[in-house]
Amino acid sequence: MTSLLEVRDLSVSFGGVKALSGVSFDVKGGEIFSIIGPNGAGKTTIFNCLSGLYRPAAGAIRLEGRDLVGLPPKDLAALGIARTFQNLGLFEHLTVMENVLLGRHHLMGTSLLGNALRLRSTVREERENRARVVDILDLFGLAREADTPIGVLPYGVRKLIEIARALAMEPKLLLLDEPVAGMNHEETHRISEAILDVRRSHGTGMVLVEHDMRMVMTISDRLMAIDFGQHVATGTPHEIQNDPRVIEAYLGRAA
Amino acid sequence: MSELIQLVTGGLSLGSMYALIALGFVVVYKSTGVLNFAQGGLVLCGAYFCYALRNALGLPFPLAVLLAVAATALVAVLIERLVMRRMIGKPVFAVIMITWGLLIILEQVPAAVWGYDLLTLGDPWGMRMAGVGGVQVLEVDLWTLGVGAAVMLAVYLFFARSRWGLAMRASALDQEAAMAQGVSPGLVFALAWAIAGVIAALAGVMLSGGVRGLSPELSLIALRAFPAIILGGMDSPVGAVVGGLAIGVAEVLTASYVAQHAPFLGQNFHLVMPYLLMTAFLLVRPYGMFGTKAVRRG
Repeated sequence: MTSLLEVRDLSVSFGGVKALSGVSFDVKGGEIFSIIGPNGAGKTTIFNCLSGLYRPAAGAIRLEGRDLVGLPPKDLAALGIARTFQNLGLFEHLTVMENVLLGRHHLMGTSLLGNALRLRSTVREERENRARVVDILDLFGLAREADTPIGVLPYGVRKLIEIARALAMEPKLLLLDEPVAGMNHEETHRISEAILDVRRSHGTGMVLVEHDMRMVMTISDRLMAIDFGQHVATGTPHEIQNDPRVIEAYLGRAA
Repeated sequence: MSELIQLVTGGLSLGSMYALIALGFVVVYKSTGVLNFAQGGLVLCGAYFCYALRNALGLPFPLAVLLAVAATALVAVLIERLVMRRMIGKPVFAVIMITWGLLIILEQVPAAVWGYDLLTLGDPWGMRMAGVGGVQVLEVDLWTLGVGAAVMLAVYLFFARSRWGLAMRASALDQEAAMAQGVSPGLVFALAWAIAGVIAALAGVMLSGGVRGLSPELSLIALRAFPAIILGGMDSPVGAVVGGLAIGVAEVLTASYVAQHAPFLGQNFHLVMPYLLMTAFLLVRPYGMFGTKAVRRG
């Protein structure tokens, strides 16, 4: 099976401080691949490179063989990379429908002039995409909330909506930045199920950054541990849990 | 009573144009964070383009309006592309001064070409009156109100329903998250200026049509959109509309009542009224009727 995403020797520095040095990994289609590591290890930096917010100093990022380094975020979205944000990238004043509909912006083709003149093709496109959003919300059991403004919904539901929006982009690769941070056991379970549902129904490859080890070990196919911006180990949950280098990175060197 | 209706109609007509100019200002402010003083210059552009196309080229009035609107939108987009985009991230004061400078340039160009005389636009309204339920009102006022209402409805539908309108609202709320959805910030900026240009041009044409006539003084009239924005709230499209209408009605009523009851205040007191209201609002409610408190002026 060929790789969906290939990352080779990725390096990022901020004013002389190396945030990432020479990290490489692959993600296969339909795979749930997690990146773990202590705070400041460089997990979110990897995400920001993958979604085009940072430009790496060196290294290659390829999606289905196509080089992505240097492309702006809007082009990466169009090529099939969707992400969620650690502290939620939802638009609070907009409704659930509007938020998720935005995920489909790059899939909608009608011109600006058509939008301004409200041509029949524009109206039809809007109607079709709204219907598609309702389908996606249904998958998450949120169809009833379509017209609710994000601002009044509880945190756990917002996290689900952000995943729904990322899915609405019909991505090839989904980047989930701490999807269960700050959640209780039940909410964590609900999100985990949603993530597995997405994989089952859409076959989307996913990269997950998460601190909740129980969740990560349960749903990941493979994991990569990093520390101080450097690769520590890659393997299955079982391999990672028993890898002495990973244990050392987390617990410190045994005296 | 019929006199009051006449006055209010005239006030709403004038106010609807203040509202449009204010709306263009709010769209640019919300989308790009720029306080655009050049908005009045775009109003002038629209009116003088229309005048030139109608009188120099002899085009039919509706066609002249259409082309003037397109040309003004183009000017607005060029300003954004060539000037404002280089100013992203620069100090707020520098950005404001740049738009102020642009206003002065845009004011001087028509004055240099056509002078300061009052010109007639070549519109079909002239001084004609129309009877509505026994009350005589200027035809140009009715058309102005109609154009104002139509543009406001169009702007509302664009932002509420279309994907580009949605993308612009999202980008104003959180640019980084909007980019992750595939929204291009550059396009959003250009689009905001284009919309401001379209609205300003229509306001310019209507404000210099009929009995009003066209002169470079039009940019002073456009400046009265600022009291409207302060009244309504700088970041509120609804506020721009309400503020604009309120300023228009206040101005026209003041003109009439001062002439009748307080002539000692002089002939131009109505021109002071919008700024008196603005000052009062800045003292009492600086974020306007519909604005958010986070918006501070200073």
